[in-house]
Amino acid sequence: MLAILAAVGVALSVGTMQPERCSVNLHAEVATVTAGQPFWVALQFEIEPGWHIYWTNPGDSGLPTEIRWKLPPGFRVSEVRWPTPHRFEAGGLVSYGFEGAPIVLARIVPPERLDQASPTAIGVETDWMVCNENCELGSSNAGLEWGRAPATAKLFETARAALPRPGTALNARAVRTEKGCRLQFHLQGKPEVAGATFFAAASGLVSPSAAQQVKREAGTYELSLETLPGAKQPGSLDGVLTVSFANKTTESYWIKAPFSLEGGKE
Amino acid sequence: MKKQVIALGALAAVVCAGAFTFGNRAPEAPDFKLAAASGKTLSLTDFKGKYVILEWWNNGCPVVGKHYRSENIPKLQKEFIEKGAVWLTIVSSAPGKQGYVTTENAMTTMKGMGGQPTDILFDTTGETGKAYRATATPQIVLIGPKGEMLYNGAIDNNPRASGAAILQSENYLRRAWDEVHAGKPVSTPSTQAYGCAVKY
Repeated sequence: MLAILAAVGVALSVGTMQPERCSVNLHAEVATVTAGQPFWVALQFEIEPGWHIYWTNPGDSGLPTEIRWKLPPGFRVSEVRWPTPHRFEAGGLVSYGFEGAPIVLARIVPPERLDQASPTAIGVETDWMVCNENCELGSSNAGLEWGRAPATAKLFETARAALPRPGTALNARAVRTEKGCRLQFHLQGKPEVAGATFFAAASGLVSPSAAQQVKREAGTYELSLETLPGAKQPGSLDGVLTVSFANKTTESYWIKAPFSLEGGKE
Repeated sequence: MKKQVIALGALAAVVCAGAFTFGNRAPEAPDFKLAAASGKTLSLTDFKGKYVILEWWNNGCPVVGKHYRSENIPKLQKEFIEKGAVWLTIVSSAPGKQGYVTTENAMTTMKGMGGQPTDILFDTTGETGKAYRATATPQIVLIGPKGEMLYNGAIDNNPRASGAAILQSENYLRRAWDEVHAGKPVSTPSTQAYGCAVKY
């Protein structure tokens, strides 16, 4: 019984079809909700070509894309995973966001006891600012419709491939410098690093438009970052590190780099 | 022994907190010399002895529109001009880009949006905007009577795409102003502005 209910199926999403520059659809990875069994949903944006929406830290300008879940009583969202952001540059300013069809994943935890009669309607409201050279504000509602099943395994596969990987193996550390800080990391068994971009999770900490230079010092990579005026040093430097390798491939990692005190002497 | 440990801990905390922040003394605000909607050419030094507020403006930006339609910015302009401050709205949009206004239509456009600044300045080259690190509209700067930079950044703590209550936000201009007038240092002299990228 449990196995059947937890089997990977798919629910059809009912998205809003507005004549907007950005629309949103919601998909579930399971066909049915089972009491106490967490499952993933995918929030897929469709953005008009040439336009972009913003990451949780929008960078020099922009507004963070907002997601508000509409869940039945007892349900909760335990995790939200954003895809690796991209840089958008205009007039010397840099913002962080997404174009095309970015997919945000969320893990939904149903209550331990599920009343058969209770609704399992899961919906989401999103607000965004979408920009090409100019900007527009917009919002959308999307919901899940259970019981129909087109295959979306590929959608979840695509979504997971676009997420930053766990970066604990990089053993990242942050060291203060005169202009800001240096992000130190290690990469074993990978081709030579050709370039790196760090997307700070917090707004107002690292300058998005300042150049980031990567160099190698005795087996350790160091990425120099410029901090913004007035920024207060956090306990750790958190964010996404995108590394491009000499063989033209790229990989992104979620890192949490504690500040080492010894750096204070520099 | 325990006392020593505490003292060391406190020292480390001070060193960390001060890491990227400004020193105690407010830095000097960059001077400018710009043509204004009034027909004058204005410099920051013309206003020595007064508090000067700079507001980066793009009349086509929906975030700016939200702050005008809600009367948030028009009310702030009125309030701070009545308090004796000079409110200079700056357009750093390059000719042909969104928000660019000519001397002739600047005040008409501003009045149409309900605004009432002291004057509107034209930063056609973007030089002044870049000197102030203006990244988004709206961005707010508060300059003290000696030309010291007291605040530079977002208008408030509400970087929301939704029409969430602007008037319930914490306004950073008012916070900085109140702190200065209470004889306190500005707690947050710099924040990241939000809104549309300045159209340099």
